[in-house]
Amino acid sequence: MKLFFRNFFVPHEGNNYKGRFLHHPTLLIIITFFVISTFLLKTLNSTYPQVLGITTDITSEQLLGHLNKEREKNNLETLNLNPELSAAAMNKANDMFAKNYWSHNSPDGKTPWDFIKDSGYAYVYAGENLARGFTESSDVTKAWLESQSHKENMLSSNYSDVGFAIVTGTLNGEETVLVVEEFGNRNLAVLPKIENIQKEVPQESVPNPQEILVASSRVNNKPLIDSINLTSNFGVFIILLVIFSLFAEMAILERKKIAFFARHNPDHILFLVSILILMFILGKGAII
Amino acid sequence: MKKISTHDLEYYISLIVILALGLLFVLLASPNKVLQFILIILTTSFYIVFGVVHHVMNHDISRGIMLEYLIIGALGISILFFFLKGGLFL
Repeated sequence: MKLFFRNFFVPHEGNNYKGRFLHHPTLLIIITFFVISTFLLKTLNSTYPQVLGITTDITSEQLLGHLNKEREKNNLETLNLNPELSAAAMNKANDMFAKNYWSHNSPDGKTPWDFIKDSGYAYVYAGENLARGFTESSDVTKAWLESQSHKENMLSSNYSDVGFAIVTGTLNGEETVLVVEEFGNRNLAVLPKIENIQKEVPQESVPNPQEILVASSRVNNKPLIDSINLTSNFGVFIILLVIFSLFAEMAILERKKIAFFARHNPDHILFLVSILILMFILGKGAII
Repeated sequence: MKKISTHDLEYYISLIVILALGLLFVLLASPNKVLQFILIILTTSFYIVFGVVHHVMNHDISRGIMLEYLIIGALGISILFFFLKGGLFL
């Protein structure tokens, strides 16, 4: 076993100063394994999503809990979960999937305020936070809090109510989880001034808030194997193993004064480190 | 310890800049996954061509070195696609 590892990872005279792990045939086998596995995992996910899939646990209760905890920390009033704002958030999420856009305004010019008004919520102040591609409620809240404009929405004293929609769908050909957070405040004293706005609401477009609240309260998938953990852990392990082998080769050849053979190793290490960074960047969700 | 020549230092700095720009463009292309994939392939191609050209200029190019750049490039891409297509199902 020790001899096997020595031959595989440590360059010495017996393996022509190149560990077998870095030999071209070995690397080609690893590449073939990754290509075939990618197709197998995709097939397994579409055939048996309960066995292999993305573990997702985002609920409006958790989002509300995190939001109010943050507000309490900042000595602000907690927000109430509002069914009309949740309905507005649900309509917004469905509209984004139906018209395939990732923006606060729809391609036909509909603004977040239109969705809020259409839900029957006569607002004085309103705001919207959007997130996609996250798997945990805490990660959504963390990403929003790290962005100044989103944080300002979350910690604004102008709001009294909040509504959430967490919906799975296909956006730009990518299956994703959308999280819509609508903020609002309706000061009853101001209501008569915006009576005309409420009259503009077409009754057929107003959803039943209770139904929407149930439908939008959570996206909770717990497959047997989490595909993100499986692929990222294995991918990172192989990259680190290659980087380690390249470093070991450089160090040993340098010590033996035959550094010429390992001159291109730093290039490969830099490239593989950038692949690791890309995995980190692309694995993260997005907010606007 | 072997000293790095100015030529090599310039090469490594250029390589770091190319890879950093690649990462930046991929980040800016978000959430357009198709454009991100194209940029990843382009950055990898730059890395391969840049490495091969560097060895040509150093007069130490060989078929083995060219193959090594291609294989490491393919390995990086295959692991990234394994994660994106097989893990995130993008």
